[in-house]
Amino acid sequence: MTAESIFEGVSYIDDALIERSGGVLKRRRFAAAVRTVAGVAAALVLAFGGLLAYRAVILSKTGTDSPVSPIITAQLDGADYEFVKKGSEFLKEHGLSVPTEELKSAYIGGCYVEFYGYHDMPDGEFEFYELNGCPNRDIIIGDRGGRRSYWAMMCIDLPGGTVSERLAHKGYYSAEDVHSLRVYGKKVRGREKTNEIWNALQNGTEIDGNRYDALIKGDGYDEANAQEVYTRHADSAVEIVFNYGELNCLRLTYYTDIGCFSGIGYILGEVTF
Amino acid sequence: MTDEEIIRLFGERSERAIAEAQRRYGGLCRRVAVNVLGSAEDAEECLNDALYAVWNAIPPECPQSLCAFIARITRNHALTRLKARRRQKRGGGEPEVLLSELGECVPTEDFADKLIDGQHLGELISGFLNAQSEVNAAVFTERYFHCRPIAEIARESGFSQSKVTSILHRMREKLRRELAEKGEFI
Repeated sequence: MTAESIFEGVSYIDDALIERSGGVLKRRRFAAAVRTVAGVAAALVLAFGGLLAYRAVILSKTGTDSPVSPIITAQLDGADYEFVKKGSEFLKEHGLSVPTEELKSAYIGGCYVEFYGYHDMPDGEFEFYELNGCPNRDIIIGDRGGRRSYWAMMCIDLPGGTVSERLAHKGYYSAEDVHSLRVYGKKVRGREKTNEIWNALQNGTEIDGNRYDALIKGDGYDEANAQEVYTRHADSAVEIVFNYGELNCLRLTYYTDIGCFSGIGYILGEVTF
Repeated sequence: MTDEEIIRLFGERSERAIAEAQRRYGGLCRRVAVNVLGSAEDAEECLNDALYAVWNAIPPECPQSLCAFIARITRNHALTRLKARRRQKRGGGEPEVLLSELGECVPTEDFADKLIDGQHLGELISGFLNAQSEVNAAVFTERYFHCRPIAEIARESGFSQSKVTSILHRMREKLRRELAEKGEFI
């Protein structure tokens, strides 16, 4: 089996795949455009109507100089709200500055949003927020990285399988899953360690007593081979779907592959219903 | 004219069938051939060869999907030409990039000598693609069947180029694992 034989093998894929591929992509583009327009309208309705059916905090990367574009999609009663902004612009538009240690909150797209943390959070506080500072949360996700070569690691422990296994089989988590979701923060320094964890994640093996299901973020600001490391991390972009019954559904789509080579802020998110 | 009507014309050995097939699917097939061969002139010749092959194939063949049938034959003709060109060491361009990308799907060096029938491999790849999300499968198909450049796929889907690259990277990695698993039993 060689690259050529695989290339040849692709010739024999199902007719349906060949026929529909172009149409699927066109529909995807159209749907995304419609969602953006519908999202703005629905957000206005929610903002003025006070129809808050749930409370959620969605994480976002931020930082004054961060070019990261968080893509945040909240889905409620069949309507989607999608925001595609630079982290810093996203916050400014909602009257927030780059987060400080002071808690900030806002209603965004019908969601009550709270931000914790601040740019370049010092040592120790990561664990504080991740492990001790936010008890009784359904989910807390933090991310950071950058100027001081820290890497934020997420270890998501779900009953019955890893994130990728769950995503592969179900495509979403049930409410029950979310309530039992535990998120660990793990801080490591330097590219070698990051690569070690990355490899463990790929192989599904444990490292330092943790089994990593997702590795989010790492910009390599002051790393010699930032592009290389960054690209590898991009592959770990995580899409998590939290499904709360038929009506309330929050989908959190989190891409790390958009580009980030400077300072990254740090935000912890909370999701409660 | 519908696919059924064109197939009927082929069955009746009416030369109008070729003109109608070209009218309906010429654009698609020309694009596939150009993407594989990188030359409009070669692509035109390839398309003519492909239509002639379709003429010879129907009947007895009676394809379920005329679109896929013609596209597949065109792609195979283009690949044959590409192989000849590579033998003469006249490679280069997008096909080389595609081959290099697909090289990542070869599970291990042990598999390099393993001979797998193209059709069987196609079935494995189909099974894999059908288990993926519709959008991801479409991105993969557009890239590796229709041989379209990443920038074009990004434009059509509304994804960023880096997103398309990332999807393809993940898909290749998954396919590699799938082939390693299922290829063992071949």
